[in-house]
Amino acid sequence: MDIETLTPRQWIENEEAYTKLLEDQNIRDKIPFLNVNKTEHFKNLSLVKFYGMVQDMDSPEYYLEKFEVINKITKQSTYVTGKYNENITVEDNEYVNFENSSNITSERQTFVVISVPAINSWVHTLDGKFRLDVTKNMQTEFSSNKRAYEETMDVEAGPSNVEKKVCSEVSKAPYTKSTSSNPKDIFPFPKEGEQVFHIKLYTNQDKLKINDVCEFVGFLDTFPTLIPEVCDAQMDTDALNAPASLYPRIHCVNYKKMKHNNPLLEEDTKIENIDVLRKDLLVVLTQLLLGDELAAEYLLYHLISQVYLRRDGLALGKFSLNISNIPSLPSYPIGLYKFIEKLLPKSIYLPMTLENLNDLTFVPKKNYELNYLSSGVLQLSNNTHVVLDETKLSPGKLNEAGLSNIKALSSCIKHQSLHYDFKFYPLEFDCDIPFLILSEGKSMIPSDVHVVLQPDEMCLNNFKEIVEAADHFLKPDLLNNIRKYLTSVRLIDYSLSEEIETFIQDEFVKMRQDKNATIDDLHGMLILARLVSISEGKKTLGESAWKKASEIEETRKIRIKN
Amino acid sequence: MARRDYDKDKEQLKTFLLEYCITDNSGNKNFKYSNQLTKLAHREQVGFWIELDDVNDFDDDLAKAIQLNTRRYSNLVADIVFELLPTFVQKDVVAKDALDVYIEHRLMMENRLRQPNEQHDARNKFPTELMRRYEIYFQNLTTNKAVPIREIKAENIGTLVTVRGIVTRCTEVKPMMCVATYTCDQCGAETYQPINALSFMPIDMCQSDDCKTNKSGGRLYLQTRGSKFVKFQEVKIQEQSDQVPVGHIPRTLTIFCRGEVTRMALPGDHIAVTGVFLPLIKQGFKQIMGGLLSETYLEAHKLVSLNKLDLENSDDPLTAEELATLTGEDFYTKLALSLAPEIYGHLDVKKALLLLLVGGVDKRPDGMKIRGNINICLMGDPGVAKSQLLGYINRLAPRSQYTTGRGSSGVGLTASVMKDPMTGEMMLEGGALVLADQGVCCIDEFDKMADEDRTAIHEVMEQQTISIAKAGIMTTLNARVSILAAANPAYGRYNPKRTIEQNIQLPAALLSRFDLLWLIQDKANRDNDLNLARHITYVHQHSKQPPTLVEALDMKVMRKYISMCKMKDPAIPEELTDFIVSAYVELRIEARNSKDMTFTSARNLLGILRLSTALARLRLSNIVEKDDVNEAIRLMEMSKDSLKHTFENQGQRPPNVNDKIFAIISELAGDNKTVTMSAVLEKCASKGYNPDLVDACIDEYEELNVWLINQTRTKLTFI
Repeated sequence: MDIETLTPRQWIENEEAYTKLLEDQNIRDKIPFLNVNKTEHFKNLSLVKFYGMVQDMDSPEYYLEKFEVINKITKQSTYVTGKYNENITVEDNEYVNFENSSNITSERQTFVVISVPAINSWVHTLDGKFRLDVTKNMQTEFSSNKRAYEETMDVEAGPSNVEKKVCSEVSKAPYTKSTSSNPKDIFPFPKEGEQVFHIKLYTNQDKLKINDVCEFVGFLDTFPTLIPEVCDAQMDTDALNAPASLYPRIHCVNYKKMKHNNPLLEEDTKIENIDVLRKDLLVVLTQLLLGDELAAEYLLYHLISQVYLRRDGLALGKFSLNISNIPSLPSYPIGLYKFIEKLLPKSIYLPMTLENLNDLTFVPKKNYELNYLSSGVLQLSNNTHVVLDETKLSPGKLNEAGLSNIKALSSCIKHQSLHYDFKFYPLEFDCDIPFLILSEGKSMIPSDVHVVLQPDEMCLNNFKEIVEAADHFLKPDLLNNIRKYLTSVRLIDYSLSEEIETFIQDEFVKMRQDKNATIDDLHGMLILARLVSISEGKKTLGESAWKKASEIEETRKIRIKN
Repeated sequence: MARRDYDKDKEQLKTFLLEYCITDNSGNKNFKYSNQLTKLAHREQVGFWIELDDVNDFDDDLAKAIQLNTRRYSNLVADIVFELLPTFVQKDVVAKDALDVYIEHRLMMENRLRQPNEQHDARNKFPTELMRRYEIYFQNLTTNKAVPIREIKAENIGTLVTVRGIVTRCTEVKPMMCVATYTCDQCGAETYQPINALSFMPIDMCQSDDCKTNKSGGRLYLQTRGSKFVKFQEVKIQEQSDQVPVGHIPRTLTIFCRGEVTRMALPGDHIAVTGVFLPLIKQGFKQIMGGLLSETYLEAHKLVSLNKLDLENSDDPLTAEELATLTGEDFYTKLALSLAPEIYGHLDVKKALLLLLVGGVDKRPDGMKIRGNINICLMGDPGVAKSQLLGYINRLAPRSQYTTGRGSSGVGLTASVMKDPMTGEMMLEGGALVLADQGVCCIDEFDKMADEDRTAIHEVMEQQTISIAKAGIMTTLNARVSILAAANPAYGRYNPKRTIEQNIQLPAALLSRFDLLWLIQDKANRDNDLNLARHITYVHQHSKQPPTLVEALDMKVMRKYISMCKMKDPAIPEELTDFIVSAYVELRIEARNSKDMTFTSARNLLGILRLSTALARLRLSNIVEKDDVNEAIRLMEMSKDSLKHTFENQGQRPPNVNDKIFAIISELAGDNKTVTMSAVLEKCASKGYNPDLVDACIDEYEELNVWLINQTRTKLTFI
């Protein structure tokens, strides 16, 4: 059976077998990828694949999974299913029998899924291999399809004039790309080619959480629907005007959560020459950080950090880095970011200007008028790196929004959790967003690790050349390997052995006696030692990694003191 | 499933309405529903409330049936009431509104037109909806608790459910047509059209016999006055924050309120609604679009606005098993350790905080008021998890306010007077202390408090009120709060050579109002540090707390247990007074002798009483026992010790536990050669040493031939 031409009906008939079939990566790969193709190129109700982030979720809706349709003339009854399909065509001479007791009402839930925010362009280019050939053949098919819709619509519109008018109005509206009246609400940073889908989930709704990045497989439904009119009360007239229902829908048959967004990394990729890659990367980073090896080391650890444990309000593994003493070269932070962007699948650059702080919304807010969650800058999927450029901050007045934005930033860095604004109460959502703060003095917002940059005069004067050289050094192969390296070491399954535990305990007691270290210091050391180990591709902590971690911490602290 | 015999149910319900009665204390029978019916008949009441609890008493099968198919039964009851009402009229009814008059006129017209001998109920011609001037509401069984919106699923459709939520939007109350009345412009006949849905198609051709036979084609016109309208309001509720699972968006539910249920809530209110969960019936074309999707709504039968106290108490009480785990061995330590489990150690501080949450008993002898709330001040070097402790208590306590001494808003800690920009009236706005009434007020950076707040806090901490005399408003607000303060030492680190006032820079008057002052110090200590390191590496390694510790209790369980404790009102028995008095006297003597940095005043005595009643509450007991008093004294001693501790370390060798116990015993013995063990144990317990330690000490010194203990271990003789 060809999976590309599967219809919902066929799927339902043989649900189990097809679900199994999807477990095979080769077959999964065959399903057309929606992220790099336009929805116009697909037939209605064809099987597609889409990966994106859950941005919002609706309350569940009830639909008739099975119902009886009776032909008015012949009195013949047939059972029709409403699963995986929203537009049931009932002919003129047929009617739906709602009274039948064997009709089944079931529940499904709509999730608003958007293209993963802050995804970097190199990921897109790599995804490009999945692009379909938009052959002439398909084009014609599509246009004939379109005609078919319009015809069926006329038939369905039936005798009522009022309804027909509404219907034709809708069909005129472009119902493909994101046509929301205010796309900024869902995408704080609109980019080319962002997509929004309403994903209808029939099973496992509870497992999907907000900001999860998943790959959804399902039937694409581009047929425009009206929002069912709730009542005559004015309450929902606004919602009616919003063309939210015009987003194409995907009736999801299967989804899987993604651990990472790096298309280079397949399930079982083995990275070779970790040491060489690590060294090469450090060379580049050192140059970019103006010859400061210590800062480069810390930056590397920052790039591979992630929260690996959460308990009792404690998020272990967060490694937000503040690099201070950034030279007052206006192009420097941007230049640095350009490189980080090249290395990481997901990152954003946020200049902390007064305007940005005052005017942008950082925290998602529930809009009760239109009943959706309007997004904020900080609604990001896990492992999206945020580079905050504090050098762009100038003295001035923060307004109330600015203050709450700063507060949100601090809480995000401190606890890796964000309080979304639901007007009547805030609701806490965990996140995992590593922050890199570039500042002149120590940053005004907190960070886990503070490194004072010691720029080399030489490098500072030749920054332009350095950038060029680094560009040259990072040949496509090497660059791809580094990208693979960064993602794969982050996912290393790491543990502490018994012996090293006792070693650390003794070390800590010594630290306490010598320098009056605190509990937080120990947490910090354990996290840093972990990062040192995994950056070398090691799965357990060794004494050497601990020593190295202690050494660099030592140097870092001395620098802060001076 | 066999179809229910609704006729039988109808009869059953009829008997229920007529015969159900409650016998009150004095033996009078109160016919609850008959009384309501009489009121309905006289148009003194509109809503007719039926409690399912009562139906359940009468016939539990029927109650179940009603719950599963509420709409049908509410129509059934409406019919029964319609039949019964005329028999309940005892006096002439005064017409209350235009519709009453209208109905009366129509009935009279009908009667006049008919032959006098014709048997005919005049009301029959009119649709019953038009004639009914009452509304039927069911109230859910009290055993059915309010559920979160999330729990309502497809299978609940048609059943009576109770949900809890917060109102996010509500429309204005609007009239909704429920019977449309038309008159014909040709024959003058009236046509009635009952409306059940949200929209309707008006009839425009007259259907009366006259018009039909004459084919006059009479047009119908809508008569607003003759139509019946009900009040209608649409309310949207959203799940409360504690009902939303982690990582999910709160769900919403639409509620339709009609008639008497309208105007009961405003956006932001927490409400509990009982109603029937129904699909919205749509017509024609729209149904097919959207895959036969049905919108759902809750038709409200009862809507209650919950205040904060209701919300707190709405949780189910602890189950027997949970209680069993709580009252097990050493539950006191277990409870204390469950406070902020992520913070290692500080057991005594946690015990004190636990007592603060439970609180002592308020006393009001002869108008004088003695507070039961316990105030605690945590001091200590920066970075010793003071703020985390405060934060945890703030999260755990059902009512609490967290603020810093520097207080961000103009309202500050106490209260401020504001001018309403709209009306120009003066209003009082409560600050943190007022808002935390009957709860906990956590004040971080207590030492950096503004001066005016500091003066106000004196009053709060002892009198538990706030007096305001600002802008012509003079009033006293209640502020029955427990204060949990955290303060940093004035010179960065606690300097043991100075007194507390100098260290914290707070006046003695304020400091003495704290029942317990605790100095948390961060000192290197090999054993402790090793334990700490083990704890942390374990967390990193296994992603959980080490199993050796007592498993931390769930916050919800803690909350429930604490609220249970608060119900108790323990008293101090007569025979303990002497003991407490002597303990206090001793404290005073000791304070005088050992140049104390703290204050031992009458306030300490009250403090001991408060702590011991709190301890008794914690045991869910109504009587304070000697052990409670001992533990209270011990905690107080420990808190003083924490302040004095710093000196002892200055000496050559810090005296170990055994030395201290020996000192106590020898002091107790004085000139006597012998002491009884019971006296020793009691004395030591009050100083904070448990019997095991005492035994160890006795054994050690016995080996050194310092004293002898007799066989039965009751008497100690010095050699």
